[in-house]
Amino acid sequence: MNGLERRYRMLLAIYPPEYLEQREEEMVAVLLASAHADQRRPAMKEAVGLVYSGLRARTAAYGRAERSNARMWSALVSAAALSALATLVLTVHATGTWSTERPRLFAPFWLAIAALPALVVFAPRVVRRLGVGPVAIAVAGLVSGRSVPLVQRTLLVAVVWFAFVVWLTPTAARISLRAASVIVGVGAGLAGAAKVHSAMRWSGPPAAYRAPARAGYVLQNVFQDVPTLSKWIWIPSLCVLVIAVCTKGTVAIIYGFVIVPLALAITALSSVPVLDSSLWGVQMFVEVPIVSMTVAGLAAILGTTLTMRSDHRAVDTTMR
Amino acid sequence: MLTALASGPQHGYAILRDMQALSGGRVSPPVGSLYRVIDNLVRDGLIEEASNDVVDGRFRRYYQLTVAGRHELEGAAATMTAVAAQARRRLKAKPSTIAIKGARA
Repeated sequence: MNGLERRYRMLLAIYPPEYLEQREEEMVAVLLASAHADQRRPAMKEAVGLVYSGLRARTAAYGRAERSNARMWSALVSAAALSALATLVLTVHATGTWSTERPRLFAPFWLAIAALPALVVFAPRVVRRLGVGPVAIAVAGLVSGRSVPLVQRTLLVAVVWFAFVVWLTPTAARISLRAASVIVGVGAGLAGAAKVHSAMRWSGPPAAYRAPARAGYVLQNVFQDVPTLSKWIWIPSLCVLVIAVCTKGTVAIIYGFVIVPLALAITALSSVPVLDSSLWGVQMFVEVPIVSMTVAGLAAILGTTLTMRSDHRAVDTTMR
Repeated sequence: MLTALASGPQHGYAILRDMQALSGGRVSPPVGSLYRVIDNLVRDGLIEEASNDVVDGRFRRYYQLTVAGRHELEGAAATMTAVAAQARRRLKAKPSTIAIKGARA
């Protein structure tokens, strides 16, 4: 077995084992026959095709509608998780410590979420049989351990679980779930607004401060409150995610291009501790690029996903 | 793909080459996509596995059209012929007529 064949077989491992049992040898033969004589690495076109078709074969257990939702979902969630992890790594790099509360709180949560799309793709039978809820809670519980307060952990996992359940639910039930999400989302949004309002009111500057100092004081206080406020932004945004999953189409696109980047920007800004004013310089240089990279990356992933979908559909029809 | 199999059973690589030749190099799918289409056509009962053999130590599986696949291909070919005939007829129409119609629109 030469290097090229070994690499192609590694790529083929993306397919489910029962599929490989039937097709592996003939596919390897076709792949090697269509390679150049001196080729040592898989061609990019073939590699992308195998990964895509392999994932399609993995998710064959799901229905058509479920699968197209899964693609969108996995792309968005993975992008969000990866960018949050990037923020975390850069924060740790900038501060030189893991001891700040926020990174510790976010890392396990994001790891757990990043693991979910992988489970959905690679263990469709387990996921269908158990439902995603227990799997999600188990993953989050195992990964996060004791570093996140129980209530918060449960709340976050519950929302994610809720969205996945919606994704696997037939159309009729989605309508009521959508209504429920609207109520929860609006409620959380109002609670968040009230919180912002009270934070602004109570953090008023001492009377002795003159005008420029007063403005600075208020601004600093609002920014200091961002970490505590971010959950009030996340909950409504996750509710919007649920609604997007239910509705698809335009709402999903609005979600991808507006709400996810917005929520990410706020989380990114809040994940560097602002209490230490010496970090302000770091923040300006680290956070701004991350946020813009996140937005660009999300747009790219979404665009690619949508293009790939139409491309492959076109290939499927014209090739017949 | 159905056209590639119209003259008799073929194996995966031969189908791929035939598709490239038929389309003048425009259709050159990655192997993953090729097998996805093969799977779909087998599932829809348009093609079936014919036989296997081993050439130069490599496994080959041959595929052939089923009766349903033959009908499907005949239907598609008839549609394409009709569309092509229409296209030729319309292209023969006087250019002046088209220009007047265009101006009116």
